[in-house]
Amino acid sequence: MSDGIGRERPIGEFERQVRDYARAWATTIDRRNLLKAFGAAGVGAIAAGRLNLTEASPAPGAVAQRVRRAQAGTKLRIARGQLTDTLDAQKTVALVAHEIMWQIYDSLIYLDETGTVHPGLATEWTFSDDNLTVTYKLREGVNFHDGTPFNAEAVVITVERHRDPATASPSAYMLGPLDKAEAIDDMTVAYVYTEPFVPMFVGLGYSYCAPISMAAVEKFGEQFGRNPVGTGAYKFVEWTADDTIVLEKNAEHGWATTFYSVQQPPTVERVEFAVIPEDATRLAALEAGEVDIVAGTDAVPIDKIRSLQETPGLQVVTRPMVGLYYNYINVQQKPLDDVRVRQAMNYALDKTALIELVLDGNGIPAVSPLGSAFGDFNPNLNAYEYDLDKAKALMTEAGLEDGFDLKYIVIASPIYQRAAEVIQESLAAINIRVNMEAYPVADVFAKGPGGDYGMLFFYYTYSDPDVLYLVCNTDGGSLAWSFTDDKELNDSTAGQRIEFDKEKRRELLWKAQERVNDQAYWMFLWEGVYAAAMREGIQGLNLDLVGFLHLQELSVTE
Amino acid sequence: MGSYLVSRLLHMAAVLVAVLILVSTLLRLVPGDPVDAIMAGNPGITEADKVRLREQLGLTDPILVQVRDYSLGLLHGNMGESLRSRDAVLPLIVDKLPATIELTVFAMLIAILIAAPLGVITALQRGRPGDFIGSIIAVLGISIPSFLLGILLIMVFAVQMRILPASGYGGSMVAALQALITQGDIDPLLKSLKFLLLPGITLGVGVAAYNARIIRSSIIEVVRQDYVRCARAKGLREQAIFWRHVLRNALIPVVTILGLQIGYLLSGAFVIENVFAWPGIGRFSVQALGWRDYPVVQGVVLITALIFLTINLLIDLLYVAIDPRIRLR
Repeated sequence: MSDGIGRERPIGEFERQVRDYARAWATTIDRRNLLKAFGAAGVGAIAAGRLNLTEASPAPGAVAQRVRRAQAGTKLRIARGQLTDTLDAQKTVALVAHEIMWQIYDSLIYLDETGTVHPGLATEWTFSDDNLTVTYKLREGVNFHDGTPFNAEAVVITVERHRDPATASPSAYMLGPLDKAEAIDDMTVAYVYTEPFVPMFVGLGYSYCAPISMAAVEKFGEQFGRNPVGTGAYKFVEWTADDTIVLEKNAEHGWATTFYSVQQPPTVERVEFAVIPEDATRLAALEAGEVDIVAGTDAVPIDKIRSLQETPGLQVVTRPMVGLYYNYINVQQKPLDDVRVRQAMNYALDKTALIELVLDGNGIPAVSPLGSAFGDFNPNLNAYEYDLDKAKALMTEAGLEDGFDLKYIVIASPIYQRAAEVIQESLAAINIRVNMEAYPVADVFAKGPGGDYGMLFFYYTYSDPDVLYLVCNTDGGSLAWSFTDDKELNDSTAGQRIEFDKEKRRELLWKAQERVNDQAYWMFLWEGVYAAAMREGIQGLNLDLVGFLHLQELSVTE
Repeated sequence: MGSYLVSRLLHMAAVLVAVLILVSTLLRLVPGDPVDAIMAGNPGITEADKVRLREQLGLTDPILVQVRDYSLGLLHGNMGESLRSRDAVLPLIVDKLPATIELTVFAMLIAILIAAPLGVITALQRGRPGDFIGSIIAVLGISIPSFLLGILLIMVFAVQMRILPASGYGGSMVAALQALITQGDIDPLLKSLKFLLLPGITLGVGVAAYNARIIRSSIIEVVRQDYVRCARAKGLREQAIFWRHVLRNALIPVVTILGLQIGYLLSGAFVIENVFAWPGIGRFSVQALGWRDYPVVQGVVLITALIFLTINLLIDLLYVAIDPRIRLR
């Protein structure tokens, strides 16, 4: 079978599961249930076999770009909206830290959205017969920024620190049921698990699990988070008094992972990440030429994309988000238990108008609980095109033409609140009186499971259809906040997790989507974009699946 | 004087204790806890992991125990560590405090520079066109939200005219002054001023307008007093009357207000710091609150309360110096 990079080679069952699974960025798979499923499928069905995976060639379709010679002393200033908490890879799970740590640390492997695993600090890996041990061959000739050598020993003590209770790492769960990491020889390390761990590549592809210099940890102790040392393309220089983080090119970083579409050593000499919390100020700084790039989580307000594109001297890079914005409808609350009411709510909203108004057109209407970028997206669903008459008719049929009151929890952020206001207006047309309550994202997370609401605004970014389990399966999904009692939905979402046959998995996923769409358990809203804005003359700015840029791919022509 | 000072200091201590208890409990009543904030957006985390993390961070102890531990730490000068970055809180705050103080002091200076002439002119020109125009300016200054004024100034001076930076920090004013005095190097001072100008003006304008009105009514009040009439009857020149008698007496209520305004400025600085990306405790604590970083927020509130109380104490003592009618009890 083809392994995604066009080469034919036999591939073990477990390896395939691992690599298929590797599409997910995070998971709540209950490993015990998964293993029971393994047992049911028959351990014998899992082909044993040692497999070799050699260095993948650059991702299909990538064109090797000619490197333009950067001028000596090239400097870039990047503005973001939020402060980074720490640059200690093991002490944070925040994306605002990951954005920068990505440049300072290299990971053992890199995942892309097609599920291909690219070599990083590990160039080859093999699975043991019982699938409990993965042995990685490490890249030669790599040093940490402080000069200490990168080798198996470094990986082992990194893992030890990661799992040490004294470190109190919020990302330790990403290592899974790891028994230990052990150095086989100077450049070979084995990760030994107590149970076969299908999601192993997910955690390893994040900067949170990246090898760090233990010499630096010893030297800086608690202050390592302010003096990080990794092997990455950029070295940490300084964390200034005004929270600007300064990085400088690591001239010794002679390799690039095939995950990057631009294969070059780092060219920009010096990069400063400044924080400007206020949207208007940040964009003013870009227009005034004080910063070169505005990028990062929510750094470019969606409704400013058009005006930025029209500003001479500036360019905007966008990328469709693999994700979805929607409202959970709490079906446990009357009269939301009536499918006609829920469908009426969907018909009453003009999604296209909402996108025009609130997002300035930067988005597409959502119709499925799965984003349309997924291969397993079901194209045969009801789009709930705006039809106020139909909505009213459904409400009358349900005996509710006088409407009812509805409590709506929204994430407190200008764009989402504006969207919520449009929804409020739209539902008012069918006599549903919406009471909006806006909370910061952390609070919304806390309120979700309680179900003390009629409707809750939410969104996800994910790279595997497995997200449907999380958001729809009321047996085990931690985000299944429509509180449905739907056996068919639960069965199909649980079933797709352990279905290895691609066709059968698709069938299950289509069925799950159909169920949510048909029963209108959600109000489907929109699918968004990531954006970064910059001045002209900067090349290579590609946004990845979580909307980040990679400094190593950048070059400046003027 | 001594006993007055002692009783005031005890009073301050009592207020600080009350603030500590109030803040600690209120913070923990807000929905959402630090672990939820840390984990937001990471569906991969299990409940067991969250509980483990809460234990490690000391969040599962009863509130009173947490408050008690924190207070004991305070007595040793330890304000705990940030739940997010694990850095010690007190050094973090001390690190960022100077920037906020510089901004506040600068804003106060600007406020006085604007308010004094404006207040005096409108008072002396009472009823005439000068008063009318001055009053309009003052009301405008009070009405414009500082947030809006800040963004407008950025648009005009940074984006359109490009003569001032849109945001950021130009180095410590204190260090710049030192450089000027010891080395005669004026560049650090100019750089520091460049960045301080827009946020300082934005913050100072609201306070200036308010002060101008107070100065105006205070002067009008004093000018009507008998002793002023008496001084005129004695043949003293208007100028002498103004500087020696009117102004000094008119400033007494203003001095009181100044103390309260420091509090306003410190809290207004939080908004302005966000707009201008000024690296003070304001911007820092706004983000910490979003993260539910309890130790940091508690630390900032306590220190702000301390500053506020100290300044008001100093103002009260200053009162005695400038107004001979007042004796300390």
